[in-house]
This record gives sequence, structure tokens and C-alpha cells, in this order.
Amino acid sequence: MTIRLSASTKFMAAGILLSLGWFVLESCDCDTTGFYYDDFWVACVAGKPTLMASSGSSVSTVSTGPLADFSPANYDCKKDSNSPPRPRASAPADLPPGTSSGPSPVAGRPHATPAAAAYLPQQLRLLPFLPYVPPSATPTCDSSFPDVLQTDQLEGLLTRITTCPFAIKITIPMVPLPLQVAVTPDGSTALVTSFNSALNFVNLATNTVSFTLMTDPSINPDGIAISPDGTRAYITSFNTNGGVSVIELASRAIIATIPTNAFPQGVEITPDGSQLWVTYPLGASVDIFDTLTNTRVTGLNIGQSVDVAFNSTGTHAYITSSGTGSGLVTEIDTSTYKTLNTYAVGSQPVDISISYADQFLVVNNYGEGSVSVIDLGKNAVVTTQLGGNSTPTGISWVH
Amino acid sequence: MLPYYPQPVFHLGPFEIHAFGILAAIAVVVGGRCILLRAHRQGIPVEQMFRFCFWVYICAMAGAFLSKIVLDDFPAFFVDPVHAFRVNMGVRSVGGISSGFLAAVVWCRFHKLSALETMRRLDIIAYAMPLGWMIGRLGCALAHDHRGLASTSWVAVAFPEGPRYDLGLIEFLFLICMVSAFWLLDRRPRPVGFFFGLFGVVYGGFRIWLDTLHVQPARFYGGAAGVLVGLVGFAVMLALQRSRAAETAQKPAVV
Repeated sequence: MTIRLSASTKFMAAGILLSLGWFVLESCDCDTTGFYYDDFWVACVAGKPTLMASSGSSVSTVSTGPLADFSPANYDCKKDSNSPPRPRASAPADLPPGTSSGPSPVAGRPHATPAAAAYLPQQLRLLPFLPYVPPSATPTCDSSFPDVLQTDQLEGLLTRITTCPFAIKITIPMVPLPLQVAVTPDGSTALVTSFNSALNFVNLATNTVSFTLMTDPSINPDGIAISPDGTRAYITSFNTNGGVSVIELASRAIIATIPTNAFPQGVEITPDGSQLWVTYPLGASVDIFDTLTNTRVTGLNIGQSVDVAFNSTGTHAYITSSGTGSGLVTEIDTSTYKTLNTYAVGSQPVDISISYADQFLVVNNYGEGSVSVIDLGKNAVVTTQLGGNSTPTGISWVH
Repeated sequence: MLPYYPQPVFHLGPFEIHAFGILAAIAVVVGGRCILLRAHRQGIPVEQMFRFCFWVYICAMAGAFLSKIVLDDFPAFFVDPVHAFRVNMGVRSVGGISSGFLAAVVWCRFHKLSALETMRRLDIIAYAMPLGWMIGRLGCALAHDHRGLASTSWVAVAFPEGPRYDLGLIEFLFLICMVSAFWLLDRRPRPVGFFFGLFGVVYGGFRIWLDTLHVQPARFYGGAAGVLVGLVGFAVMLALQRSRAAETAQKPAVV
């Protein structure tokens, strides 16, 4: 078929070609710039404090009136009557209260975890909300207030947040798709896994990337654990090859690889550093490895396991898993590997964290947008819906 | 469970070219070529068909962009349209499909084409649509920009944040079947409007189902594309059935 076109039609064809050129050159890298974790924040819209929500790349107004977790009276929009509701794609991290374009610093953001008085560094994943700050008063800040590290998978950033005053201190670019972060016991370095075959070493004194360990392309780092003595890091490779890479932190080199099943995700090390527990969200077991010999000691028949937390003495392990119905947290005796208890939590529980004094376990239930708090003293579980379109995946304690 | 691969990115001098963009462009070219070939075979002047497609394409693109801005948060758009433009850039298929359809009807009315001729052109587009759409959705599957509910199904993808459906991939697989079915059905003569109606019913129904796999609860606007396409397709199929019944009734009985 030969097409003979008039001049005006050729002009139209050129227009289509131009639009196609735009498609090719401007199409987003959608994989990393706009999706999945919902978020809430407060912005000033037309002079009114407004609770905003983002879902994927779209942003919507939730309410300008008071809600259970949102009181407009706590915000002041006089100075900044139109702080832009921020889409995910346009800024590296959420606007916290107190920043120049955010609302006043007197109030926190809706969050499900309780407020307390100190901070326990935890392995952090992408947080659905910034950590909670008590909304009742502006605290007197001093050097004892800790910072929080947050990976932002969407933007490829590590964000350092000061908790008093509550503000973003710095955002540090990572190798794309950063997933988890862990801090060395001496607090000098943060290690961030990047799914795109890298481990980022961040000097926390200078807030700069001091070293990037590019792994073999066959490794897709996901979970990370650091030994209590700070000499080694362990990273899982979330792909069909699986494996846990052992990294010597002094030489910043992979010194061994522990073979595992496919798609290992979470990895936790016991408080005494003797064992490594590896979870498989797609598998039917939790594997336990001896860190001295890097060999598998045993496995637990817990399907679709996602995350592990240990109590402070390492005698009990708590493992989140997704069943066909509601999710489960299984309590294991680490000396006998026997199940001591199970707790029914919300659907698709993901990250789990234990508070100081081993009193509470907090579990994020990704599937139903809720948080379950397990009172270990009373064996009681309270599950709270976060509301909105929350899909919580990360967890941290701000004590 | 399908493995996850990041979207391929190519570097051309200072430009980063993503696989999604390349496939979207190829989808338009291949779909357009298919439309023109089919029009040529049916005796419709190719240049006329090209101009028809041009306006449908332009209006569909404009509608897709505008609907994203307006529908994503209508109250916010009402309060501050400039802000809505800044925040909600993107496309929505419901806007693209409805404005493209409207443009086609208006164009045909403007050129004083009969209802039958209008339907003939829409039928040609509907026949080529799954092919172009399929290529475009392959781009979506590679870009992973339509993540669905968490799942461990065999068709789920092992994303870094956990396994879940990739809706672009599911739609791509569905469209392979649809393209094959259309190709097989086209081996026999079909009444004008057959493919248009069939596309609406089948694809509309599929989109309504697919919407249930979204991360968010079923959304009216999200499901609107499926509902809209399905209803129009159903109406056309009904009209075809009735006209066929009328034709049969008018034919003299063969003795």
C-alpha cells in the first residue's frame, strides 16, 4: 500500500511523529517514580490546613475538617497560605511539620505507633508515615534526641530526619531502589541495600556516601543485618538465585555467600550474633544459619514469612507470616525452636518490631491497612485500622 | 511467580530512553498502520482515514491528560486548577477512550458521513485497537507502572517490595488472546460494527474485572473505562442483533 498524502496531511503526520518523539524521550521511569505506598501529610491549601493523601502518583484531599488523627487547629497557615500539596514525583521526601514550606511545627502527622520517650535504632523499611512526634507541645530539644533514617525507594534516597526539631536534615542519593537500612553498632555508618545490585555505605558524621559496594548483577540486595560486634553485614538477595552475602565491614568486601532458597527477603541476627534467621515471603520455611560456619542449622515450617524480631535477650523470636486468612505472628523459643504462641493479627503482616523492655510488638498489616499491637505481658492483640488508603510497610519506634 | 526485572533503559547521548516510551511509540505506529491497511482494503480513501485518525488521536490524548487532572481530585481542581495541573499530570484511559470516541463521531458528523460509514470507521479502529494496545501494555509490563494487589499467584511478579500482581502484564497477556481471536474471527465476513461491539463487550468486561485487582478499593473512575466501553459495545452488539433479526424477517421463506 502506497500512501500519497497532501501537504496538510503530511503536517498532521509530522505532528503525530513529534508526539511519538515526546513519548520516547519523556516517558517516565514509572517503576521508581510513582506508585504504591500511600501517604498522608498536611498542607495549606487556600489558607486552610488540609489533610492530603497520595496514592500512587495521584494526590487527593482527605479533609479540611477535624478527624480522629487530624486537628486543623494544630496547624497555622497564616505564614504560608498555599504550601503545595506535594506529589511523590516532585520532592524527595515528605514535608514534615516545621519545614519552610510545611505547616507549623506544633503537630505531628497521623500515625499509629504510640509516642514514647527515647529511640531504638531499628532496621527501617520504607515508612508509610514519618515517625510520630507528640502533637501536644513543642518539646525542648537537646542532643539526646535521635535522628531517624528512612529509605525512599521511589526516589532512590536515604532521608535523615531529626526528631527535635522534626525536620528533614538531609537527603542522600542512593543507588536506585534502596530498600532497607541498618546502622552499625557504633553509629558511624548506615548501610543501605539497593535492589539494583549495590550496598551503600553512608558516613553518618558527614552524611555522605563514603563507599558503594557494587555487587555482582546476579545479586539483588534486599534485607540487611549487622552483627552485634559491627564486623560483618549480611544481605539477602531477593531473586531466584537467593543467597545471603556476608560482607566484612573493615574491608567492605563480600567474603562469603551463604546459599539459601529462592527469594530470601528478611534477615535478622540474634542479639548474641550467633545465628542468622532468614525469611521467605514466597516459601514455606524460615531458615536458621550458624554465623560461625555460615551453614544452615535448621529450618522452621512457617510459610510466607516476612520479618523476624528478637526480644532483647534473644530467647524468643517473633515471625510475621501471611496465611490464607488473617496474618500470624509466631513466637518461637530460640533454644528449642518450638512454637510457644501464635498471635492472629491483620492480613498480610509485614514488618515487626519490639519495644524496649520487650513489652510490645508492633506489626504492620499491609493487606488491610492496619497496625496490630501485641501486649506480650497480657497476650492481648489490638488491631487498629489506619484509615484512608493506608498500606503500611515499614515500622520504627520513636521512644 | 514471575521474576522481576527493572525496566530496560537505553542511553542516547544526553537522553535516557525507557522501554515504555519506545513501545508506546511503536504501538501508535503499528496500530495506525493496521488501521490504514484495513481502511484501504475496505475501499476507504487512506488519506481520509489518516485525517480521521489524526483527530481521534489528538482528542484522545488531550482527553486522557485532562481527565487525569480533573477526575483525580475534582474538588481540588475546582479550588485551584493550576495546582491540579501541577500535581495530577498523567493520563487516564477513561478520558482517552471517551474523548476519542466523541471526536470520531463529531468528525464523521462534520464530514456528513452516514451512521453506517461512521460505524465502519469505528469498526476499523476497534479491530486494530487490541494490537496497538497490546504493544503499549507490554511497555506497561516492563515499566511496572500498574502494580496491583499483593499476591503469590503464578502470574504475580516478585517485586522488590514483595510479590504482587502487575496489571499491565495481565492486560498484555489478555490482549494477546484478544488479538488472536480477532484475527481468527476476521477470516469470515462480519457485519459492520461487529468488531467495535465485540471489543467493547470483551475488553470492557475485562477492565471491570481487572479493576478489582487494583491496590485501591474499586474506584468509580477507575472502573469507568470498563463500564463505558462495555456499555457502548453492548449497545452496538444489541443493535447488530436486532438489525440481523429484522433482515431475517424480511427475507422470503425459501421453499
